[in-house]
Amino acid sequence: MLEVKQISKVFHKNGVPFEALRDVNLEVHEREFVSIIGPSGCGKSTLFNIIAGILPPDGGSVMVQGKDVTGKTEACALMPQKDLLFPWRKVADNTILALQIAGMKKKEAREKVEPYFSIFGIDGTQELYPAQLSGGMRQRASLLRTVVQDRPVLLLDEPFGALDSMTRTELQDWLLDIWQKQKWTVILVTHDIKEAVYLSDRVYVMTPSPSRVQEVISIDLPRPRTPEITMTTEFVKYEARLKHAFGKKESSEEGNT
Amino acid sequence: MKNNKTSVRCDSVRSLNVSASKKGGLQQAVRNGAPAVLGILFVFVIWEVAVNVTHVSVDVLPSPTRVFRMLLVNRDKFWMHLIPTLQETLIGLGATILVAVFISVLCDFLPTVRKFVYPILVVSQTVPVIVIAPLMVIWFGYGLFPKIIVIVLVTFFSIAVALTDGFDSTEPETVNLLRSMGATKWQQFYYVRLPASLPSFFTGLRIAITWSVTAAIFGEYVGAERGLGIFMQICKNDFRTDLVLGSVIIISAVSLILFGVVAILRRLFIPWAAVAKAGAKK
Repeated sequence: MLEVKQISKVFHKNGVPFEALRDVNLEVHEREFVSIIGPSGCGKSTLFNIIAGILPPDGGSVMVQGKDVTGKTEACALMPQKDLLFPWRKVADNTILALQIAGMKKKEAREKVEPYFSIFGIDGTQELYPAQLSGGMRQRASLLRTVVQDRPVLLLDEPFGALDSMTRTELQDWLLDIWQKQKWTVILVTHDIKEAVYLSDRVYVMTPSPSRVQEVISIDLPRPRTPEITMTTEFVKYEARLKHAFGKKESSEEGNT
Repeated sequence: MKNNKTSVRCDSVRSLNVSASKKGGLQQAVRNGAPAVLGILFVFVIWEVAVNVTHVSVDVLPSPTRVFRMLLVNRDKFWMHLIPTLQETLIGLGATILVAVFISVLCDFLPTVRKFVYPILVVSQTVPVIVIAPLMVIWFGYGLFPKIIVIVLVTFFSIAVALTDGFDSTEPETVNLLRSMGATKWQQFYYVRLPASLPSFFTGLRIAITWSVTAAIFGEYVGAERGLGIFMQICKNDFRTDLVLGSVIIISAVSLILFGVVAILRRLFIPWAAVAKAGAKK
């Protein structure tokens, strides 16, 4: 469905080359939930921006549904780490931003997003300003803004990274639930091992720079999953395996990631 | 104990303010305005008493009651001179906004232009108005045009800088998000940079509006046919201190009213700013 082939990227900082990505290969199937984890600064965001089409790679290609979309933004919808909802737009108007950019009339776009509000559990917030919403609610609206673009692939860039742990857990449960109903094709970047195991079908583990794929781990836990699954031995085994792959350095940070 | 009391009071005032802003700004305006009015009244009382006690000559310092009486007696004359001053102020400010918007948008889209224009802007601010204003009279005469130029020169920097800062307040992540949605440069400007610049723009406008009144008066002071600036000049030469002070009071009142108008416009154009502020306090 989505194929990332032999992607490489070198940045030049003050004339000094810095190799961010080397021959990265990645594959995502239709309706699959894939996570990418790796240490900070391992080029996850660079890879993401390349997949999203807003950063041209130095080599390699991105194919979606058999079509070359390298450097094109048409295939993927991006959900950033910060919600980036505009304070001057009401919540509903924020969610239709991409539709308006694509040329849809405001009224038509509002009608299109309306049914999603109850599905996303934020019904009643349409006419509020983002500042009146909690952090968790804002992330839901942010995901809604991503989903309504009707792009084949959703790219979630550490969407819960800036939330407090209670809200994060709540939103992970929520995302799991809504994804199992909607079955979007998702790539999630995270540095939270538990989150990766809990949500994903497969997890890509990246190495530090120059970044490449170190290991791909299939999470063969049954679906639909519920929060109880995190207490099973299977789950803990996957967590341990990922932690091992992730390297000992990161395991010390496990408490706050 | 004392500290406790004050902090409790502050909290209740804040919550009252929030509820007032929901009902409409009137109550809040009265509450915020009352101390200012009392303060000014207090100054007038002191002034009145001082003049009566010291029996200072009316040419040097007339009492406030006399100033106000003369304002009333000469109201037609004041009105006649107020109109051109107001005209200059508003036209000048309008011209400033047009010029500032044009230049800052141009700089935003074309970074190369910015490199050329920015130094000129800064240099234009170092030229003293005291020199410029008389030159304008020499070059363009006593009409409206030289005053407009003086006003634009004085006020335009604050608005141009406010707009530029406002445009630049957009985060790179936001730009990435918009690009991922396929937004063109123009759409990025229209959907993000422009609305994001509004709060900053109104801050600049608030500064510019008081300066533009001062600049109009100054432009007239060095040469005009009518206007409060030239009227003050004439009255001063006639030792009519009461009329000079009367003009000062009118000028202050006009500035305050224009300041208030900007505040109202700000509320109308960016209703979300109050919400965002209340949200941030939470």
